[in-house]
Amino acid sequence: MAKARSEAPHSGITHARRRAYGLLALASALILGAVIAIVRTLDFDGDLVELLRSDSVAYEQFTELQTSFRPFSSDEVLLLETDDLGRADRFDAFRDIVIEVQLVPGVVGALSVFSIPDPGDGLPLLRGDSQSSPAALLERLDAVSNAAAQLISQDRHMTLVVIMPESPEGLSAQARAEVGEIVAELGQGAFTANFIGLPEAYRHLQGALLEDQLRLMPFAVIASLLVAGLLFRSLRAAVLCTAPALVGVVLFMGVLATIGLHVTTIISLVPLLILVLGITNMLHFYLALRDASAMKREHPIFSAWSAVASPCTLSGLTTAIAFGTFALTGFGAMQDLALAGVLGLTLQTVVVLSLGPAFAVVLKLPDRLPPSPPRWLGAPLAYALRFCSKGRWVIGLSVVLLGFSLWGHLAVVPGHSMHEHLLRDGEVARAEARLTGHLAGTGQRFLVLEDPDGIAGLSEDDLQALAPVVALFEDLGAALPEAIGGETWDALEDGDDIPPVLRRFVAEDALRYVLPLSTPLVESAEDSLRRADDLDQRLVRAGFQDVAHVSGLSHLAALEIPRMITALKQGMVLTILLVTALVVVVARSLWLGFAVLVANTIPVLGIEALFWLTESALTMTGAVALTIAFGVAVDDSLHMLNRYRIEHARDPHQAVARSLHMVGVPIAASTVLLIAGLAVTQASLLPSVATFGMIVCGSMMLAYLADIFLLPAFLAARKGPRP
Amino acid sequence: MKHLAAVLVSAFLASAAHGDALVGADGHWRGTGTGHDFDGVIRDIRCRLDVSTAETGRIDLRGSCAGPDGSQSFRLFVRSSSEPRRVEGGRLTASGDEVSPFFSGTSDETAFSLQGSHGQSAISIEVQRHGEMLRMISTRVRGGRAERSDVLYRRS
Repeated sequence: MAKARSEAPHSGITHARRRAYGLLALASALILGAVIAIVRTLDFDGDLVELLRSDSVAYEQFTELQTSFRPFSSDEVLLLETDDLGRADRFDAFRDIVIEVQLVPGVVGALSVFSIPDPGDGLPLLRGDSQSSPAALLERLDAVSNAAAQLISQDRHMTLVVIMPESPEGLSAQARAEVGEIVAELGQGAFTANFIGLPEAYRHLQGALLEDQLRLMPFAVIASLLVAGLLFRSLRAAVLCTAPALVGVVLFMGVLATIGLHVTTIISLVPLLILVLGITNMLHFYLALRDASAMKREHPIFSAWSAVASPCTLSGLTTAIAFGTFALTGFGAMQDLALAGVLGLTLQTVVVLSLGPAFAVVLKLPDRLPPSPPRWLGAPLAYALRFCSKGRWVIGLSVVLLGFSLWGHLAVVPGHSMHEHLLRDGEVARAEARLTGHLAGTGQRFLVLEDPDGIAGLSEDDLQALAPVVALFEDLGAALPEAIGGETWDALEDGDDIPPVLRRFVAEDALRYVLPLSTPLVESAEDSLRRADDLDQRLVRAGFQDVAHVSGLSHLAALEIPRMITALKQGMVLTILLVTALVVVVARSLWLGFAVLVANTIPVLGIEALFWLTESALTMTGAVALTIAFGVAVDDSLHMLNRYRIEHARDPHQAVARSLHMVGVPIAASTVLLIAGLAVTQASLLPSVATFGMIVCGSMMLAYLADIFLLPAFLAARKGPRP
Repeated sequence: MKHLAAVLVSAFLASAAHGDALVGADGHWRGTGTGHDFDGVIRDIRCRLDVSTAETGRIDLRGSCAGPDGSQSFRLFVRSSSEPRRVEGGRLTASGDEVSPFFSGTSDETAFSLQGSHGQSAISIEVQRHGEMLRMISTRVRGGRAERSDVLYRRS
C-alpha cells in the first residue's frame, strides 16, 4: 500500500509526460501540414489597388479607367540618365533607344519627349531637322510645351520614357532585361536606366514581402530567446516562452495559405504580432509556474495554467476586438486584415494554452525551479506606489491627460504617402528622390473627359468644348491629342485605325478620353491630400465636374486612404468602447472599466496627440497600429485587474500594493519582451512594417507606465468589495 | 537504281520547292532607315525582321518598325504561298490593314515582292537581298496620301 502510494505521483508524471509528448507529436504533424501548405500555396501580394478595394465612387471610377481604357497602372516608367541629352551623340543614342525599346516583344509603344506635338501643326516637335542642333531643339521644346518639363529635366541630364506593355500584367522580366541591354548597347555606357513607377515598386514589394517574413521571424525569435534568456537566466525559460508561440505562427501561416488569404503589405504585420503576443502570454504562464513552484503547489503546471488561462483568453479577445473593428471600415483589404487577425489570435491563444503546459512538462520545468527575474524590472514599482498614493491628484492628472489625448485624436489630420508602400532605401525610392526638383515624377493621375456630344469620336465641336476643361490642367502637361481629333478622327476608318500610342487616350466605346497628368509618385501625406483636393476643386470651381473627373491610382490612394483612416479612427473608438464594456462586464464594475479605459486610452491616443503636436498626418499604418496597440496594451491592465481580484487584503491600498508587487514585474518583463520582439520591425524592408513596430512599441512603453503609475490610483480609489 | 532515281527526283523537287526565294535570308535582322508617314514627316526609324522559309517553300516575314515619337509603328506580317515564284497573302498591321489573301507577288533567289489593295488602301512590299544585307521598301497609299519606309537590314 505504501509502495503503491509512493508510485502514484510517479505514474501520474509519466502519464502527463506521455500526454505532453502526444500533444507535441500532434503539433508536429500539424506543423508539417502547415509548412507544405505555406510552400505550395501561400501568396504574397504587393498590389496597392487591392488595398484600396471598396464600393466608393472613386474606386468605381478607377476600375472603369482600368477596364475602359488601357490599364494604365501597368505602364512601365524608365528613367534614363546621362550627362547632357543636348549633345548630338547623346541625343542620337537617346532617340535610337526610344525607338528600339518599342521593338521589344511585348511592348506596344513608348511615350517620350519625342511624342510631344508641336502646338502649331500637331506634328512631333522633335521631328528630324538637320538645320537645328539637338540642344536648340530641346530648348524650343521647353519653350513651347508644358509637357516637356514633365519628361525631361531642365539640365537635360534625366528623362522619362513611359513604356506601354502589351499585357495588363506588365512587362516580362525578359523584356525588361532586353530594355536594359538596348540602353547598354546603344547608350555606349553613357546612359543609366532604371525602371521606376508603380509596377516596379510592386515587383520590389512582392519580393520584399516574402523576404521580410523570412528575415523578421527568425530575428524576432532570436531576440525573444535572448531577452527571455537574459531576463530569467534560463535557456529552458526562454524556450518555453518562444516555442509554443512559434508553433502558433507556423499554423497561422498554414491556415492563411489554406484559405487562400494573400499576404499583403498590411497583413504582413500580423504574423510577427501573433508571435510576439504568444511569447508574452507564455511569459505570464512561465512566471505563474515559477510562483506555483515556489508555493509548492501539488500540480504547479495546472495551477499556473488556471492562473493565466482567463487573462490570456481575455487579452486575446481584446486584441481580436481591435482587429474585428477593421471589418467595419468598408475596405476589402481591411476586412481581410480583420479575418487574419482574429484567426491568428484565436489560433495563437489555443496553441499557447494547449501546448504551453506540454512544453513545460517536456522541459521538466516544475522540477527545476527557475531563477527569479532580475530585480531591476521591479525598480519602478516603488516610485509607482509612492506616486499612486497621491490618489485624487493622479486621477485628476489622468483625466487631464485623457482630455488632451482625445483632443489629439480629434485634431490629427489623416494623410497618405506613397512612401509607406515603397521599399525603404529601394531603387524606386532613390530614383524618385533623384527626380525631385528635376521632373514632376511618375504619379498616376489622369483627367477623364466625357464626350460632349455623345457621338463616338472627337469632332471639331468636341475639341472646342473640351479645350477649357483641359486648359485647367495645362500646368500638369494635359493636352488633347489633336492627332485623334477633328478632321483626323473623321479620316480614321474605325477605332482600330488609331495608332496604339494614341489608342490609349480613347475608351473602348470612343465616348471618353483620358489625359495623363504629371504629378510626383512620392509626396508627403499633406501634399498628397492637398493635391487631390486641388485637382477636384479645379473642376468644381469651373463647373465641369459633370463632364470630367480626375482618377488614377495616386489620386485614388490620396482620396481613399484618408477615408479609410477616418473609418479606422472610428474603429479605434469602437474598440475602446467594446473593450471597456468587456472589462465592466468581467469586473462587474463601472469604475474599473473607466480605470482601464483611462490607463490605456492615454498611451494610444497620446501618440495621436503627438502626431498632431508635430503636425504629422496620421497614416493608414499609424491608425491600424494604434487600434491594435490598444487591444494589446489593455492586456497588462487585465493581468493587474485579475491579480487585484484575487488579492485577499482588506484594505484597498494594501491590495493594490500587493497586486503591483505580484504583477509589476511580469508586466515589465512582458513589455520588454514585446518591445524586443517588435523592435526587429526596424530591420524591415517595408516602411509600413517599421512604422507599425515603432508605434506599437511606443504605445506599449507608455501603456506600461500608465499601468503602474495611473491604474493603481484608480484601483485604490474604488469603493466597495473587490470583484 | 530505281531507289537512287527516287532519291534524286525527291532531292530535285525539294530544291525546286525552296530554292528560289531569298536564299539564305532565314534568321533575325535589324535595320535602320527612314519612314515617310501620312503626315508628311520623315522620321528615322528602326526595324526588326524575322525571315523563315518552310520546307514547302513558304516564306514567313514578321517584323515591326518604330519611329521615336511612338505615333507610328509598322508591324509587318507577311506569308507567301507555297508555290515558288508566286506569292499570295499578307498583312501589314499597326495601321489596321488586313488584306490576306488578296495580295500577290513574286519571289526569286534575291528578291521578294508583294502588291495588293484592300478597300481604299494599296500596299506594296519589296525585299531585296544584297549580299549580307536586306533592303525592304514598303509603301501604302490611302486616300491619296502615301506612307513609305525604306530600311536597310543587317543580321542581328
